[in-house]
Amino acid sequence: MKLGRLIDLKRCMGCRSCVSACAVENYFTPEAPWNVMVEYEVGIYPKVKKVFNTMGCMHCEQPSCKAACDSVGAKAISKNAFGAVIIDYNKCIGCGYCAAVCPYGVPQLNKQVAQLAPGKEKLGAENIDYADRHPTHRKKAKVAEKCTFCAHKIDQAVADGKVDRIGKDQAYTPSCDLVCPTQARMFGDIDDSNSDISKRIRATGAKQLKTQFGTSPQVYYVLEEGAKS
Amino acid sequence: MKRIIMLALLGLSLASGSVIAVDTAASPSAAAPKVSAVNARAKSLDEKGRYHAIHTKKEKLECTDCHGGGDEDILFLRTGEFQGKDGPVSRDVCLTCHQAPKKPTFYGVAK
Repeated sequence: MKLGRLIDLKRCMGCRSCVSACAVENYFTPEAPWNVMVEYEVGIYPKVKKVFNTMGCMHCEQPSCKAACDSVGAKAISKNAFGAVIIDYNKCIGCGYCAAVCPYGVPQLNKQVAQLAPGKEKLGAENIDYADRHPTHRKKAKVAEKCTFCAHKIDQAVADGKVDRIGKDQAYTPSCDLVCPTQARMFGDIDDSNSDISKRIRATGAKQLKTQFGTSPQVYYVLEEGAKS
Repeated sequence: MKRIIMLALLGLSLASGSVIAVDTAASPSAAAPKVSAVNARAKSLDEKGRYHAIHTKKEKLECTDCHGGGDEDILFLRTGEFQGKDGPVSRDVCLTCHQAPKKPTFYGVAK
């Protein structure tokens, strides 16, 4: 099984629900976001359009971040059995090489572990004791972090013996993909040619971004006309 | 007794100071091999770290060979990236030396 994501820029209206959901689920801090909304205009006046392009980790098949991490001997980045690129905070030496080579600017070197909403109530996983958290939520200062495809949910699916429900059940699907009000996001097995996501990738002609880097991202985009790729 | 301890401490501090001096004295013109000088640096992206040392000292690149153009890349998640005095790096520049089969390889063959 190889997990992947489809993001339809023709449907995205830039509401940032996915960004908020990720922030609460994974309590990333504004200084080190795991998911961002990039927006820009295309076309020539008066025929102009706004493109909303949400970006997170592309979970590349050949991740440049992993290659850079291996090159310095830290070996903190790995691809798990589902194709998700995961950073081991205990092995990360905070050199920032992963951040330097990622063509998508994904890895975030978090200077400090801060509360998502300082001075206010704790949100989501912040309420769980540090030792009880999923390893990807046991954050540390001065190490790299990024989107994990909500690895805590995927691992839960494995523990519950419900791998076939990944991308279908709320408990086993990344939060960003659940909350989209326009159904612009889809998550599932891109290895299975009969999966919903594979069918939709084929039907829409969805593309990967920045293919000149040869990293083979596992996130596909349905591009608006004139959108950057 | 106090005098002896003080002298011992002074001697130790001077000795450690001289070791640091030897490390920091490493320069491209030093007799030691360049790679050793690079390896001695901290693995960080700081201007004085190993990353910059490899590109500037070993590969003899100018700052502007890499820096500049990165701010034009809209599809970049870390939009608040440190700009640096010569502007952010466009990762397209990295392809020149780090795309397969060139080593160290960070990027695969373009598709």
